[in-house]
Amino acid sequence: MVTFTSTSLAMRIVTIGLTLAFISWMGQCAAPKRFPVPTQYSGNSRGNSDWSVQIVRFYKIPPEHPGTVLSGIQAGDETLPWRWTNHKAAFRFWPLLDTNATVELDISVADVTLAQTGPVTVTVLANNQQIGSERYARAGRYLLRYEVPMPSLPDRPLDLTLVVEPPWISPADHTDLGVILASVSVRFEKPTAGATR
Amino acid sequence: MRLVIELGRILAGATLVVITCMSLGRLLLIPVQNSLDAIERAALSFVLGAGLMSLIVFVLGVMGFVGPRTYLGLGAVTVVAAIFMRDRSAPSRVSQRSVPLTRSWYLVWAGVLFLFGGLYLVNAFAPEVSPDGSSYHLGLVSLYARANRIGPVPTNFYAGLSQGLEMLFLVAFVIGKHSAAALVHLVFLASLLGLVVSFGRRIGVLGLAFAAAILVAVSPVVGIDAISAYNDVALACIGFSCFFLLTLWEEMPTPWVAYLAGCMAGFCYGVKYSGVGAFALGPLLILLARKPVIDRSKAFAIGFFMLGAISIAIVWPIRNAIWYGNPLAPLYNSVFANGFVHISLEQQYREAMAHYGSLSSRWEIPLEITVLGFRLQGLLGPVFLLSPVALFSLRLKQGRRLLIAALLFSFPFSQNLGTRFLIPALAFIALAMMCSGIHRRIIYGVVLIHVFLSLPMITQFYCNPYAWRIRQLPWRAALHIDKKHDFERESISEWDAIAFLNLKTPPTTRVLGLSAFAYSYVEREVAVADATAIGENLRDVLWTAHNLALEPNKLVSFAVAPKITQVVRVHFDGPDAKAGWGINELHIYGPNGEITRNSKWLLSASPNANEVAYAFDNNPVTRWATWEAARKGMYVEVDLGRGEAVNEITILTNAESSILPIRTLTNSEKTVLSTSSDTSLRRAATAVIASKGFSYLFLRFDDPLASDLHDNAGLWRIAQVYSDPVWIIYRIDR
Repeated sequence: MVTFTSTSLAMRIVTIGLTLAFISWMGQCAAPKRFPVPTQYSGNSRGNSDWSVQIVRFYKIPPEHPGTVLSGIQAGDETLPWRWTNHKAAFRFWPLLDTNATVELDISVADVTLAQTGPVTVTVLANNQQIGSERYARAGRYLLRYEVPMPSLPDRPLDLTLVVEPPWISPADHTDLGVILASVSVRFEKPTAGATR
Repeated sequence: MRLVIELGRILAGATLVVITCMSLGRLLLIPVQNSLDAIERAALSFVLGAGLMSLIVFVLGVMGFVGPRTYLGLGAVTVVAAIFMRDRSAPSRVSQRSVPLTRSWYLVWAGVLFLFGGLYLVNAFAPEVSPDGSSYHLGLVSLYARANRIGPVPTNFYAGLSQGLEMLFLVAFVIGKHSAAALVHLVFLASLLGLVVSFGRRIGVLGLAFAAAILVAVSPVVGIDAISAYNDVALACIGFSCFFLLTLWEEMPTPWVAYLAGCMAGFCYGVKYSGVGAFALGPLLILLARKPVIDRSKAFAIGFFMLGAISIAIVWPIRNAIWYGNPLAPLYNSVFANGFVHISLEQQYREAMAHYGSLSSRWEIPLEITVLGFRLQGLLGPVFLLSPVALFSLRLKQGRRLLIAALLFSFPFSQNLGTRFLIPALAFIALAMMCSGIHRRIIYGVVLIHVFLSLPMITQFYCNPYAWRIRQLPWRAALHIDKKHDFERESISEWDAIAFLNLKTPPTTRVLGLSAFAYSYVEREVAVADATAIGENLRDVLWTAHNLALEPNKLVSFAVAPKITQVVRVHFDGPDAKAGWGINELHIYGPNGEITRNSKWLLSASPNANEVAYAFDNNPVTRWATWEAARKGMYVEVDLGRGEAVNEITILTNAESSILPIRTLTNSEKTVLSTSSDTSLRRAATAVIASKGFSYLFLRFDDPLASDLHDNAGLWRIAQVYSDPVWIIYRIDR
């Protein structure tokens, strides 16, 4: 039978204690560090403000507060301030909380499409709800403007969809094209701020 | 009068360091001083004392004692102690076996030393204009002096290096500024020469040792390094002291001698990481010692040697572990993950040091380091093309010892191809060349040719015009009577811009330098972008706002099958991607919209957990990034604090990161959306820099950001406050 003197027992306890402390320290070192959420930057366009204008456009100098192209925009000459849309194009914007939105689209209907498709209908949807529709029989530049009331905006991104019917199929590459788009902008504005401005 | 005061301050600063070191060294040498002659005593006491003094200055500095009074007090105490404890016995004579040097050769060598000594002294007294000396070596010293404290400097890569010599520079600097520090470095060259000659005398080759000392002393790269606030010549001197003490140990095998040799090995590491080879020098030379020293004594001696080495060197790993989270900072960051230096920065640094960019073949190295001197920053002198003759010394015991030391001290050259990284091995190589068996007269002739070829007016005929070397005898600058600072202006293009910062900005100003510059002359707090993780992140936010490739214009959306979860993790799930991976912003959505970030959230990431907050700060220009090649399993994770219904996770990132194989913890459908460019990013970038306390940007005209900053100053919210043909300063307006 093995017996320990008090000294050797104490030494063992100290050794075990130190080993455990070392393992614990190593464990702490190995554990991933976790951090709280930092202070939020407030200079962002989607920060605390009574109003915000967000724009999708194609100038060389980009807008201060951009929206997002989700789909349906053709690649084009980067020096030109416009792009062809497909027959369906989608954009995303970030509303401020509790705001109305004013949507503006700067489009042009081209001769070449009208000649082959006849009059076209341009429909605009906000989060899949139709907010406006126009029919164009003549080529030219058109500015579409729609109000989107506050209750229509959920606490989510505002997805705008532009639908052009019927599409024009480009003979060069068989792409379905809609209209020529210069910009899409949305002005988000709190109702009270709008009244006093 | 101003001249006398200025020169007096410089001399006083350097003298205080030398006297304090020698006093401390005398105390350490008491047990062995009877075995040393006067030159050995003087040189060894200075070097040994320097090791101890640097430790004392560091500890005092950390405690908040930095300043002339502290150092004068320290000097007084050590001098008094050395006087009280001095041994009054006469220095021993150890030159019995030496072949005497003829009077005429004495005169020749003395003339050479006088000529080059004068040249070096004038250049050392002139204002410090060397690239590293005027930037980080004295930049950090200047920072400590202004703060009256030595503390962590997380904005400076070089603050993580060992700073044994900078501690001596600090003492000299607080009294005599830059030139005093350079003079201290020059004293190490004098000590090295004294020890080389003494070693030669001990092994019976005094004349040849004199020639070796001349070979080292006049070498162009040694000269320019010694008169600058660098550390290579000091390392050479300390390394040779270690070797000398190990030689002494063979004659006097006491534990104390082995311990002192170990202290010198530790001080080598304390001065420069590349001196770590000295740790191996002790065991190797002790094991190779002649037979009368029995094996057990050798084991003890190695033990005492290592004890000495550790006792001096240990302070730096401990400092680094506490301040920078990496005992070997700023290197080995992949082993010791920390928030001080990104792994990618270390990789770039190592790559740059190993190749020096413009070398097309390693075969170019011999000519570059001996004759041309531009691409590897300095030349040893053409005569060192003959250095392979040193191998003939292998037949002698001392030759083998010298070559072992040369090998250990030149090893860092394989990692850093700068010519000056050979300086610590140069004395060993020179002595080995002298011991090669070639006739003495031939050797003396070769050394005289070396002297001639090393004269600055001769060097210019064969080396590259831009080689790093002494070019002139700037006596007006050395006397500090040139009020227009023409010497400084000629050597430091940013001199006027620095003067602007010192005169026209508030004392508490913090300056972000986008290019390296001589910030030791700036009396403001300076951080250089690209120098540490903090600097790189600040440079990155500027680039993110400027460069389309880094612009956060991709929104990666993960549509998740609705699920209650407490942990959201986004991880890299593909083959290694060399360019790395980053996230500018991460948002989480539930059925009722975005789940608002709150104080219960806990964020983590691997790697770079320290920077995970950048992905959650609502600022699109800041980002969490891997800062190394992306590898499978790297992740960013959010603990939401409680179970939440999650059905979408979005990541705002740049184009390159958006196409990488990123996955979420749960099955999800990934979509990549494009956003338009955003000019408000520029404002956000300078906002980040201002939030870190920096109010000025300092850059060169050819900086890649210079045009954008100039053309879009309004968008950046900056105003140009200074410009000359090379340098521009912007104030950040908030």
